[in-house]
Amino acid sequence: MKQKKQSGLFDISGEGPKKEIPAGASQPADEEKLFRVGEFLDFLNGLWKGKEYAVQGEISEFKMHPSGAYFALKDAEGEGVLYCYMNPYAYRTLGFALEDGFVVRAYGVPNIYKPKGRMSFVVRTMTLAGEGSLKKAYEALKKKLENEGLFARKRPIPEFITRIGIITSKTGAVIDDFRKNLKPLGLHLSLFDTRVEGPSAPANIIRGLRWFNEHHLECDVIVVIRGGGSLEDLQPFNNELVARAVFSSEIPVIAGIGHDRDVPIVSLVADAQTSTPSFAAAAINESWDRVVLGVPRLERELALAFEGALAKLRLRLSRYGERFLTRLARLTVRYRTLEVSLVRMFALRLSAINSQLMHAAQYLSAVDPERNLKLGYGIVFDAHGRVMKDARNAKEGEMIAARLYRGSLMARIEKKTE
Amino acid sequence: MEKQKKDKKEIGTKLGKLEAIVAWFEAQEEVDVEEGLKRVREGAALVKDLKERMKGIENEFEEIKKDLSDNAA
Repeated sequence: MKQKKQSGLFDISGEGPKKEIPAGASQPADEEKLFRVGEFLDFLNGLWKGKEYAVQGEISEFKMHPSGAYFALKDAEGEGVLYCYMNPYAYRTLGFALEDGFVVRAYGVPNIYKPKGRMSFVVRTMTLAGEGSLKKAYEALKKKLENEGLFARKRPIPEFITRIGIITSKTGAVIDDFRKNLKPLGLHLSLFDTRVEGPSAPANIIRGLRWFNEHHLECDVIVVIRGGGSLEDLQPFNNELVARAVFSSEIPVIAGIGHDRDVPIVSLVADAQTSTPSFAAAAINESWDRVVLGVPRLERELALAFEGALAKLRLRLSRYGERFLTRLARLTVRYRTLEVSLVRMFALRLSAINSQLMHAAQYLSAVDPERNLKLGYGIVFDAHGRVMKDARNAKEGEMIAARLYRGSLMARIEKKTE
Repeated sequence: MEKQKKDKKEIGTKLGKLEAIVAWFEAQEEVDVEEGLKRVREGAALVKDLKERMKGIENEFEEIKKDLSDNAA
């Protein structure tokens, strides 16, 4: 179990710690004890063991060496100088590059290097302090990552987001705002509680990103959220290591980090960025828009399309009906015309027949044998009843019959002349 | 997890079918009424299913319990 660390912010004005009094320093027994030099240095180093101090100052004489980072912290005004050391791992995990002139808040513990008897402040971690340093570090990191292309890659936010990994603090209004703004869509929310401010925040956030990638690969998205704050408050989100962890995440990341002017680097690297946690929730809701908004729209369109089709059909039927009636009317007119023509034709024909009949009647009347018989002519028949037209065919003594207008005569041929 | 994946896939499939039905109507110059009616019925069933899925299902929330190795560092 780690010993609980004590901390306090000190100026390095040379007056020494204001709050911390080395344990036992005022004890008469210690004053009377005689130390050897090495022993005394061990004693002094032991006084600070398990404690941590925060010291704010401006960096100068910064040097990077394979064995670590060496620099001095000094007050902007005053004469205090504190020589500092950071081991390579601690420096690498800072997430920003130091340079002379940066105002920083260093967290660490003093240590006297026995062979040289020189005291240095062993820095465990630090944060930037002061608008100028923050802005400069922000711009430098932004340029660096932009040149590397970390802002250009944007993976699509999946549709129908169901499982969401959330990285933020469980205390405060942010997580509540985020949850309240999510629609009830049957979402599964997993919160990785983390600090979102202060020196431990970057490592916390990175751990959260790794955790979701290693344990919750089923997450559709990871949401990194925090409320607004100053550039100093938002340092964990302008941290290179955090930004690279976001970029390395296999799961798409949505950033919902409140900010004023400068968009946090993490937001620029994320696959989707929103300016507040509430907007991040809205982005998740939007992933369901195709269903939430689309289904009622498609339902309306479907109904309209079918009604439209029926209306078209009715119109078509109506047109067919009209065409049919028009054609029928035309046929009727044509029929009437034909009828009139036929009647006229028949009438003419009948008239012609009548005329022919009259002529025939007149002719027949003219050639009627009865008429000739009436005029006194007679018709002679031979014994076989055949009309006799030539005397040469007659035989003397043959019986013949003569038909008159009224009655007939039977006679015998006495003599014939040819 | 599998159920959720399947659920999401089903939503996508049903939505795709519904969109295809609407697109079919839009593409027709003259709609075959019988075919249209069949598709409308199919579309109405899809709408019903999808609306059922979207009926206010509460979100679940959990805080991840980190083990000691996760807390370290």
